Amino acid sequence: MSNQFSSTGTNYSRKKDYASSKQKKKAGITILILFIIIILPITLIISQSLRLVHLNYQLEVLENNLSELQSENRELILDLSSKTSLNRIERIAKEDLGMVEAESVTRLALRDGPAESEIQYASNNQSDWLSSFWHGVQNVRAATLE
Amino acid sequence: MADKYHVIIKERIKLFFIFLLVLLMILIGRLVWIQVLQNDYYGSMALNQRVRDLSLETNRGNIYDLNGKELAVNKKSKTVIAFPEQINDPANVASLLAGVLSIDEVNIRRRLKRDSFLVYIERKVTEEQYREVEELNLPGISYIYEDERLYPQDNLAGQVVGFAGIDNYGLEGIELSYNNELTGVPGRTLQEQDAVGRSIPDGIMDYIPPQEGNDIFLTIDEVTQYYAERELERAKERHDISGGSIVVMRPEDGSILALANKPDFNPNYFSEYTQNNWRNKAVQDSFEPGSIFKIFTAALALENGYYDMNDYFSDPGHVNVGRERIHSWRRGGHGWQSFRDIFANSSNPGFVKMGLSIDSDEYLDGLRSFNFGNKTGVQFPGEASGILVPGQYTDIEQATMSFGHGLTTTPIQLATAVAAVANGGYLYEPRLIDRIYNKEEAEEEIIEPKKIRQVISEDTANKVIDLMINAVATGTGSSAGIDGYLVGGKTGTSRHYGEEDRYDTSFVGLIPGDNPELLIYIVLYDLEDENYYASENVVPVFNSLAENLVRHLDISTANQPFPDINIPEKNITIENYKDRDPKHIEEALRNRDLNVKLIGEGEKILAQTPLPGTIINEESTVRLYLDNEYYESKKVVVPDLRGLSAHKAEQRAWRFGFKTNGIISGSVQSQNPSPGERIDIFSSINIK
Repeated sequence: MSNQFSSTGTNYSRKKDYASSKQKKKAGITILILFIIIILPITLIISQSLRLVHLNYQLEVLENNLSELQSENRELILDLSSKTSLNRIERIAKEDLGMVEAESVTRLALRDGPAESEIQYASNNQSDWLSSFWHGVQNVRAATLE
Repeated sequence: MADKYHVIIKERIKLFFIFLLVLLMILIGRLVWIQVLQNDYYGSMALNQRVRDLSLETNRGNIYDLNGKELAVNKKSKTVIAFPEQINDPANVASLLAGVLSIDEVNIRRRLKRDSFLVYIERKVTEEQYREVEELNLPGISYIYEDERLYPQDNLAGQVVGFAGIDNYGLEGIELSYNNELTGVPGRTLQEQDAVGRSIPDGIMDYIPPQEGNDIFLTIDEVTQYYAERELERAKERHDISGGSIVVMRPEDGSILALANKPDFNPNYFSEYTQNNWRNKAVQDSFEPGSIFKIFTAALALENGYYDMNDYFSDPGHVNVGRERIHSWRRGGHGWQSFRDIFANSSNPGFVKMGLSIDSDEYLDGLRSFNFGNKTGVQFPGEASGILVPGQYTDIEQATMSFGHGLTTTPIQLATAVAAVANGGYLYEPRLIDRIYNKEEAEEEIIEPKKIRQVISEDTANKVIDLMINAVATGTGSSAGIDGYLVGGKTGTSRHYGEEDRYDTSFVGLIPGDNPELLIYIVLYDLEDENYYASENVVPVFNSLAENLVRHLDISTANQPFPDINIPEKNITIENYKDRDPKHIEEALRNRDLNVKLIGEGEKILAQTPLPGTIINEESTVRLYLDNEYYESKKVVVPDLRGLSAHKAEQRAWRFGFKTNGIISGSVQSQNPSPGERIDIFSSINIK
């Protein structure tokens, strides 16, 4: 009887242990789920936020750099403009390079090309694109030779 | 005993908890007071600590020439600032700063003692100056960046561009007249910042972006402007003058390629110059134009039909108008001259006769239509309008105005009016701005040429251009010619009133003469050289400038070296048209290539000039009087008949509406009234 009892008691204890470990397991899973549901998003949000802060500071630094570069660019344009001023160019040309102004200028009036009547056309009866190309080549030659 | 002890402890614990409760209640009360009742007050205090309301500076627009060369730009400069609260010994700091800055010690000390968070010490200092300030290593002294206006071309077009003051507000020139376009709209930002002044992400943010100022592109061409200024500088070295102005314009649309003046100034250091140097004299000052004005007298005489190209004039050396005697610049006069010749030789008596022939209302209206006496509308501050009619207006005023005296004009007015002749008769508003670039919208607005009105017909314009070409080919402007180009032009010299030996000399030239692409107007002020004729001083300036500009602007050469002006002699005998129908006679005469001027209104012709029997050439004028009011009191200049045969003397007198008395053999020795007198029309001249 007592053995029976004890055996029953043991079974009961085993059952109890089993139930307890199962509960613990459940609790662990619950905690894990809670962790995943609550802590992980919070961690993610915080890390994103920190990343955002960091990027924002980087952006500010880059904006400052851009502003400085723009300012530098403006100064370079200004410098270029001053250095290419006609007054300066003339002064350097005369004083440093010893250049002098031309005393007289001779102009040659050239026509744009020979007059139509001066171009000698070769006789050509063909009417396709090849003939028109050849016609053009001949015209150029005739004009060049004039 | 133990129970009693427990009771005491319990009581004390109870008291302690009551005390804590009261304390908690007080704290809660305080919390409610701060967080709920005083929420707004403390909330705003906290916000003010973190949030910065900053004004965002905008960039003033740049000014460029036609091809994008920078004439006015911005640069970031350091402004020295101080935080008075951080400065323990203001006197010592002021003394040290005064040693490196251009501001005096007393002034700095006064600023440092102000009850302000921040004060300006000196604005927009140079890098070298700030480096010296930095080396002093003074606590409470720092800098901020501010935009500084710079003019990289220095003096070039300085009077056109003008300048902006320390606050970047335009004070002169285009900087002033286009200040609203150039100035952008400052922005504003509201930022929540951390302890070291960095923006807090996701903090309170508000941002109104600044709107940048628009860029302005002038019609001024840097190279043309440079040549013009250089020629003026050289003229100053060669001649005794106070300065000069040059306007280079495209007559087709009134675009100004150069607007140069001497003396000038460097806008980077504008405060070091006098206001006289700042003045854009070509726009802001007026002067007597002299003989250049004959262009407009001729244009109005031709336009209103008073004269035509083959009419003749007598220049005996002077002409009397009332009690005044007006002389020709050449002693003894130019004699018997055609319309072309009196223009080419710039004969004052010839132009007095022409001017006095024109109805005064028609003459003044015509000049007003050319914009004389009015502003041209060029977008430039302080434009002068000149004076067309100073007060009373009688024959003497009209006579002197006909050759450019007794009135004042600005160089820009004259150039614009001559451009109207050069482009076929259309008056344009002078165009100084080519386009405006809006950086915000990335849009470019072209400022289109503005045609005001037609002032003369194309036919008249061509005739006047013909006169100007002839003046350069054979007359007072002959040294203005350029090889390979047909040049039209007119000289002008005016003596200062009350100053015997001081002159303003000027020249206006058109290139190419037959199809003007370029107009160059030059005036030299207060010339005191012995040789004051324009051909000796201003024409060489034109010649040198034009030589450079035809090359730089690629102006086409002449199609022909000189236009054919050989006038065919076509003898037409004038008949007696008295009592005939004016319409029929006009038609008949016009069919014979004669110019007809009907004077007054009426059904019949009452009188005429030339008198019947006069032989004239085509393109001469026949005046038909329809109302006796117009000729009964009319005075006409007596021509010079001396040295002519009886027949020729009679013909010349008839042409002008006079009869001759006296029988002569050989040539006329003397005449009464003498040449240059003005007597009643249709009266007689006694010849011996």
